[in-house]
Amino acid sequence: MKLSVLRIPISLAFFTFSIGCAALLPIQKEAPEEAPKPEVDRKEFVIGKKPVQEPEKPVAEPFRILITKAPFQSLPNKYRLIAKEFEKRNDLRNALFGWEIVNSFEPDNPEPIQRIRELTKEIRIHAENHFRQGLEHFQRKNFWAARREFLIVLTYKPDHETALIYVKRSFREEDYYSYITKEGDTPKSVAQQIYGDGNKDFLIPYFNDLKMGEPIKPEMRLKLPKIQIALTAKQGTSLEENVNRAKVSLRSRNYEKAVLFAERALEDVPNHWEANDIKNAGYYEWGTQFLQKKEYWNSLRMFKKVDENYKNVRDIVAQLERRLQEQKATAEDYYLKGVKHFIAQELDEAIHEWEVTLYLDPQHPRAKKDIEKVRRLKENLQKTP
Amino acid sequence: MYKGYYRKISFSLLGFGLIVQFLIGCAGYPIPTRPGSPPVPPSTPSPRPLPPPVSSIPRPEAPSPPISPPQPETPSYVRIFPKFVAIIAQPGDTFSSLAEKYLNDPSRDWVIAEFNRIDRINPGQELIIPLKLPDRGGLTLQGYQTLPVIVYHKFSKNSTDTMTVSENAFEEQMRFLKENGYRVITLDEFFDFLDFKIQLPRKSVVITIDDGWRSAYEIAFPILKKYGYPATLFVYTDFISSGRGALDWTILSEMVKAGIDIQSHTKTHRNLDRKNPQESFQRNFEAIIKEIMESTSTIKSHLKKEVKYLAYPYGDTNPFIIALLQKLDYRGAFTVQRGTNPFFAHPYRIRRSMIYGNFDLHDFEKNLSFFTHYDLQEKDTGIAEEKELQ
Repeated sequence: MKLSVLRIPISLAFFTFSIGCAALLPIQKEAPEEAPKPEVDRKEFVIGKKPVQEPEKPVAEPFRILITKAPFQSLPNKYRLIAKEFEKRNDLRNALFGWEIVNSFEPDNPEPIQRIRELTKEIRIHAENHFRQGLEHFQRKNFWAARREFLIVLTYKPDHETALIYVKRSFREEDYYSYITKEGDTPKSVAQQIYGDGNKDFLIPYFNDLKMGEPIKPEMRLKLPKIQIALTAKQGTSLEENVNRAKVSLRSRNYEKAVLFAERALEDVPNHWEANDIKNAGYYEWGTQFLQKKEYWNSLRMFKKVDENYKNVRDIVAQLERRLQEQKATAEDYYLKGVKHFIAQELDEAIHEWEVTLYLDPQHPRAKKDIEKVRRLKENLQKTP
Repeated sequence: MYKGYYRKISFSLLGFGLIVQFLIGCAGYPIPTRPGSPPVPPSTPSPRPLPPPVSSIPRPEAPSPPISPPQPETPSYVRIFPKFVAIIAQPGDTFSSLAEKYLNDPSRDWVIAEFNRIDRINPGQELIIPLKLPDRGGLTLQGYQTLPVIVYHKFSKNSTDTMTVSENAFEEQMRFLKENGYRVITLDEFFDFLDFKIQLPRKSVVITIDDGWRSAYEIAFPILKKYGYPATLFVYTDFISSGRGALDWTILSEMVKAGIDIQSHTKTHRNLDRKNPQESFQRNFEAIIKEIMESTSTIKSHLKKEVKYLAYPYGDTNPFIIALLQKLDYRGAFTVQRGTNPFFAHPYRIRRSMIYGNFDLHDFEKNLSFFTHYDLQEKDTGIAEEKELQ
């Protein structure tokens, strides 16, 4: 962009100032050489008030004003290109803002008006679709996928409060139990029911803004804090404790223990939703660990213990089964190679091939038996003088 | 003789011409006003008065700060639109001065820098100043911002151990933040970010110091002041004014006046997640309440300030403690689990990274990750990518 610097000589500045008017007089065309220091690199700050910065160098000539010959003429084109680039990247909200900038400078141009209309509609539709998909995933307890969808919704519609709640709550463990009271419930009976200890009844008024001794009415939704092992006086193998231990193990990524305690809890209460969740999460993560180590059989074993509607388990199991089917075919090839070695009396090679067969297909019907047979044969041959 | 005469005439003509030109200029252009920046002669900066405490610094309403009402006579190098302002940068314009003028908050200078993707302003440059930020919570289709919170304990002039950072190392780390474009933010800003109310500078970091050792004042405080960095001290109140190398209330008061935030680290530094074997459940419950409430009231009575954040002693917590903090109107609490925090982090399980005395700058930097790449448009993310969100 061609710039012209409008400078008033110092000698005239005083005169012009005395008239009381600062103005623009084109004197020279060069841009000033001295670039201001970047703001992010200031030298002195005052604690707690970041914005305050080192006093800036005052302008040497106070009335030097700078404008372009055709101010802002290049901006619409620049932002048109930027908006198109954002559209290509599917970043519709930034694209929309780009077009809004264009439109502000070119209010009579139909192109930005049309793009704004289209993008606004597109953004709304995308947000709605992703929100719907997020809900579907959420209902299927596929929380990772749900969160991704809700995050997308927020990129389109940052004000979407429900999506925000889902994003924040998808994985966050609830800090309270919720209990709806029934006729005849007392704080003691509720505490007994939830914590297995009626003496914890004092928690009910405290966390529900009730007076001590105040009777509880039916249909009240009570908030009951969750209590972990460290805080539970009673030791033993209560349902609560098994669930707590399962949770702690899951958090510390000890999946084996997590599923062990969760399954114990489920023995007591088969429909215990939290224990079931931990069991699913535990097996899922355990399966994932095997998958990362490429131990597909073990991985499949773990994923098959997870409820099929949990996250993307169904897809993973299908993929694993497909993969293992292919592996089985390969395992058979190795088995046949082993047979050839056996016929050629190359016993060590035969064992090696069958071991590979077993690695690829631990349930291969003959490999294991044949290895044992050949090992026995080898021993006998060694014994023979 | 004539030479001098002609020179006088030509100067007069030049002067006349310039005046005419000037008057024409006056007619053609509105009078440029440079609000808030009357020309001042260069001078040595005078010492600034201490700023008000962090919590009392007025912040603009998130997410869209109010803008200055359009001025009746807008200079030709400024165009104000409902969603943005377009300007041609003038000599002397800085990110802060523009942010102060158009966003009503000079600390939002980074908004202009980041939106225009520049780190300096050149006079004549055309800039867009967005009045509403596009990426709240630092969320984009390519991933999301994460905020590191770092925690120190003790400082010393020279010697170091795991929990003690030397003066030189601390200075070096603060300089590193500055030289690498990090912005140190307050806890209130951090929690506004978690609430998805605001967008923060891309590279933001929170500084915290635990316990209440005197070295926080003697060594860390002057360095923090030098760089203008806000920080939060989590103190356990029984330790304060106890001698034994602890801070006292007078010093804390001075630090608060200088913009340091003081928050709770309980009363006695007891591990809230551990129950003494001889304690009944109810006794344990009462002890925890006391740990939290007494520390709050002590800080309030000495420093006359709001206490709404807690750093768990030893970083340990559990759902019961969290439920109590919620009940007691705490806004959030901090663990010492290493890692950074996206906007959807649990506000009562905020991750903090301990900075050890033996850390070099590389170790320090490893704790400052500020963005998680996660392509939201990638449909088939698979397990590995999903793990990334953990």
